[in-house]
Amino acid sequence: MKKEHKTPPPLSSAALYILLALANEDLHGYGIIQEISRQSEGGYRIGPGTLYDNLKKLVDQKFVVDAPRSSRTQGDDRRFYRLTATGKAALSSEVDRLQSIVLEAQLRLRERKPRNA
Amino acid sequence: MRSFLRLAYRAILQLHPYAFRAEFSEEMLWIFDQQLRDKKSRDSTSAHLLFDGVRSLVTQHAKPRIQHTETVNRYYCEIDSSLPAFRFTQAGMIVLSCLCCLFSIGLFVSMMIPKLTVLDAARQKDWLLTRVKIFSSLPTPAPQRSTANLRAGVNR
Repeated sequence: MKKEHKTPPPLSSAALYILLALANEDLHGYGIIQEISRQSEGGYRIGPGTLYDNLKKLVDQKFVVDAPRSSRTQGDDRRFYRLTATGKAALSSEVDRLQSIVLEAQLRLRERKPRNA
Repeated sequence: MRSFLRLAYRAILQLHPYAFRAEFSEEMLWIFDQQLRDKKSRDSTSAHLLFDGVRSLVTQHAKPRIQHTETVNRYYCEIDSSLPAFRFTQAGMIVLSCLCCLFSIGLFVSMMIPKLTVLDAARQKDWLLTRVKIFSSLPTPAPQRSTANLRAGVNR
C-alpha cells in the first residue's frame, strides 16, 4: 500500500503575512495590519476586507483562534487572534517551501551559462 | 468628505453576507476609521480601502455556499437569512426592463395613435418635447397602375 504524502497547499501572501504577524504575540485586527506594514517595511499593505477574508479562512482551517479574554488588557473589547499549533506547523512548512524555492533559484542562477560561450 | 466615505464603506459592509457581517463588520469599520485618521496615508488610503471593501464583498459572495450548519438532534438548523447582492441586482434588472417596456409601449402608442397623444404646442414647450417623425423617413409606396394601363401594356 502506498503511503500518502500530503503536502499542504501553498498559502496566499496575505495569509502568510497574517500568520507571520501572529507568530510572536496575540494581536487584534488593526495590530495585524500594522505588524504586516512593519514587517514588509510598508511594501505590503492590506485593508480590513482582505484581512478579515483571510482571517475567516484561517479560523475555519483552525490555524488561528480567538485569544481568550483573560489575556487581554481590561476594558479592551477588541477581538484578539492567536496562532494555533496547526497554524504554526502550516507556517513553518510554508517557510520550508519558500526556502527550497529560493535555494533552487539561487542554484539555477549560479549554474546558468551564457548561450554563446 | 470623511463621513461620506464612512457611509459608503458602511453600505459596502451591509451588502456582505450576514454571517460575515455579524462577525467582522464592526471591527472592519473601526479599522477603516483608524486608517482614515492616520495622517500619513490618508490621501491614498480612502480609495484603497473602498476598493478593498468591494473586493471583499465580491469574494464573500462568489464563494460557494458550503456552510457548516450546526444541527442539534437534526431538528435545529441555522438558516442563512442574508440577502445576497445578486438578488438585488436581479430585482433591479427586472424593474429596469419593466420601465423600458413601458417606455417603448408608450412611444409606440404615441406614434401609432397620434390623436391619443397629441399635445398642444404650449405643453410641448413646457415639457421640452419634440415630435418624432419616424414614418416621414420611410420610402413612399409607388402609385399603383390601373388595370386599363396594365391591359394596354400586355397588348403591346
